[in-house]
Amino acid sequence: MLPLEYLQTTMARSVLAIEPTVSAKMLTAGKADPLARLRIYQNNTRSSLTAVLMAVFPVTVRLVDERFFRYVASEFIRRAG
Amino acid sequence: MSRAFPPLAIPASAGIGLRSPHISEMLTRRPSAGWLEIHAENYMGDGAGVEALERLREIYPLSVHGVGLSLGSARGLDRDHLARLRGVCERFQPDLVSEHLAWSVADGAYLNDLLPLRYDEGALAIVARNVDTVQETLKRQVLIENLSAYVAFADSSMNEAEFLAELVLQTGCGLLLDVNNVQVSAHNLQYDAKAFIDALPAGAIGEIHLAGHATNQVGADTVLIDDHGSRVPPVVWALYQHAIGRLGPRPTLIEWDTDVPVLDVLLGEAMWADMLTASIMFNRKQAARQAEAAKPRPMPLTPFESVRTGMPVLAAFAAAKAGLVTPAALTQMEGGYDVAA
Repeated sequence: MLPLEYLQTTMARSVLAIEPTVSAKMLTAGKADPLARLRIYQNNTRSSLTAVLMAVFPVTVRLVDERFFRYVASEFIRRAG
Repeated sequence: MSRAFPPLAIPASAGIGLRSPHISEMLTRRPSAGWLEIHAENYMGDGAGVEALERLREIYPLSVHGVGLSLGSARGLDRDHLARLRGVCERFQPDLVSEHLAWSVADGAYLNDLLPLRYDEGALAIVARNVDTVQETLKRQVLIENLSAYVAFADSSMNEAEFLAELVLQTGCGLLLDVNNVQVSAHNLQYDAKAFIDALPAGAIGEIHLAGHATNQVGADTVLIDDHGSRVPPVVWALYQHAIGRLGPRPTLIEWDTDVPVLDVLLGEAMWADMLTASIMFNRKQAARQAEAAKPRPMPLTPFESVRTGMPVLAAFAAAKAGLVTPAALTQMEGGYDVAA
């Protein structure tokens, strides 16, 4: 059995979409595919952290365009994790 | 130096989550709302919002709901964040304080989302230690909220309800029952929502949350997303009815976080929660009265005792009508008159 801290580190890296991701065997999701459900956490985390960055750097968002800012933000979140 | 506020107790009725677009209207209109709940993290600094909340705190009972403490983190609590939470509690002197059974921090990263735990003895020891630390720091009981989840861990040794019940025993914490979260998790993870509510220690539940969720179709999978972005749906009202039937009235919060509508929509949802609770309690009282009426009555000891009406004097009228006044007494009286005549 994995200690909780190791499990949380693995999950956090999976949620931030950093390889290697958590094994599907460690998760359950009713009748659904657990790794597909993991993507909900990935999307939630990326969009909420991106929203925080956009609120902190509103001028940069206007200078570089929101679409480019979102791309850079998601790369930043992935690498900063 | 924090100012002193009137100690306003949160009633066992509905309140609303205070959201920034509604603050000025709350201050000018002062609508009837049982109580307010804020997210602790939004009031950890200074600014116009904090000053507005101090004014609202004079009028409305307040609940402080934390979303960023990460009670489930194996690494332990962020002491700085806990100190900020204590600052909010000292400043606003809320009647209730709550947090989540979840974790958001691991490997040095803050995920800004609430992730589920693996429910086992190891996790229980960690969460219990963290809850003890919070309760000692805040010098008060906190309520712990059940989670909305999209995955669970395969090697959990207990379910979330059993974990929460054990946490209550070990720490003396209370529970915040989020009925929408029960529905979302029970659907997504395929378990019985009512059985989950029934497994919680009823006496520990000090607050209920109600909200809406989104329904997403991903291939063959219908997944409920806990977005707090719509009215409370019928399935959540039905589950709330079940909960109130078991628990009796409890402070109940209407939560709305995405696509926040005008204030009156939140107040309307709170009104419905109060009406549903009142209707459940009224029906229960009626049923108890009918059961009482159906019971065979023992012989009355004194003439008026068996007659039940609202006014004591009416019992005398009703007893008289039923001929319960003993003929012997009347005869004696009539006899007395005879003598006098």
